[in-house]
Amino acid sequence: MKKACKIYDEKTIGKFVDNELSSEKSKTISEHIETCPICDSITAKYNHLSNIFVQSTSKQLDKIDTDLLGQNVLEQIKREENNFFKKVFDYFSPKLYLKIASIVAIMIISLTYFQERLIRPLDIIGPSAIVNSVDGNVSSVMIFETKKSKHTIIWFSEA
Amino acid sequence: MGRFLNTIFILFVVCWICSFTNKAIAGNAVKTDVRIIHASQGQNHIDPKLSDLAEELSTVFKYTSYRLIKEKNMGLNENQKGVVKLPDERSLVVIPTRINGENIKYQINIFKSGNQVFSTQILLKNKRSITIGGPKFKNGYLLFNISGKTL
Repeated sequence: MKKACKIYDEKTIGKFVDNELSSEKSKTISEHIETCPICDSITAKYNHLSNIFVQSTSKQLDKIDTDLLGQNVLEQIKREENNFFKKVFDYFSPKLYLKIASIVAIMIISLTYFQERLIRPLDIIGPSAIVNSVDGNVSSVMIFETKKSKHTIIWFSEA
Repeated sequence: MGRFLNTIFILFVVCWICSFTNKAIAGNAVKTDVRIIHASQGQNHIDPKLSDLAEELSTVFKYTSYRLIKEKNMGLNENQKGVVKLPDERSLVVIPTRINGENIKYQINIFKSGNQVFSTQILLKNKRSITIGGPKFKNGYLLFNISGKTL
């Protein structure tokens, strides 16, 4: 049967090896390990496993060509930038509110600009002018308007 | 969504202010065009420059000839006097006394040998015209077509 330390369990020793404990706690465990062969054995086992992992990882990292990796990443970014669908998506998605607002603004400005021209034909319904007063050395005055465009005419006869 | 509505609101306010500014600017000056026409029952003739007006006038007058004697285009500020010399020592004085985006109020006076023979105050719709006629001239009559357009 495997012996176990009565003070620290394997999990705590594991955290100690991985430097996941506070410095004060680590110091206490370090002092304990010097007097406890069970914890010392566990620590040695974990340190060994840790060394194996670090060594194998280092070997794999050495195999990676960082320049090539960078180049590949840049190519991938370039491909995505040139993607037609992405361009379309980028056009419609970011700041979409601004684009819609611009369109609405153009519509408002157009309506303001063309308002007179759209309403203007209705003005023709009324006379082209209202005669407020007529005076002078005249024998008669007639005010009338044409049927079609309600063009106002003043006709006077000189005295 | 809040930013969108804010943007729309700001743009709407700007457009609204612009529309008022436009009217305010429009109220400063007016383009006044005066056409002096000789209307008679002589040989059929309609001056090409009067084709639009002659068509209208022919619905109320029986004249067969409309000749453009003179045309004067003036840019007048409010209360600025515009004078047009007429045949037979006559003259026409036109003064825009009030200008806004919708109407132009004109004071129109006709003088003969320095004496005022006719005077009228009219409220002309913007971009439209009025015709004043009556003085006899060369077997026919003189017509004065006055149009106004805010600048």
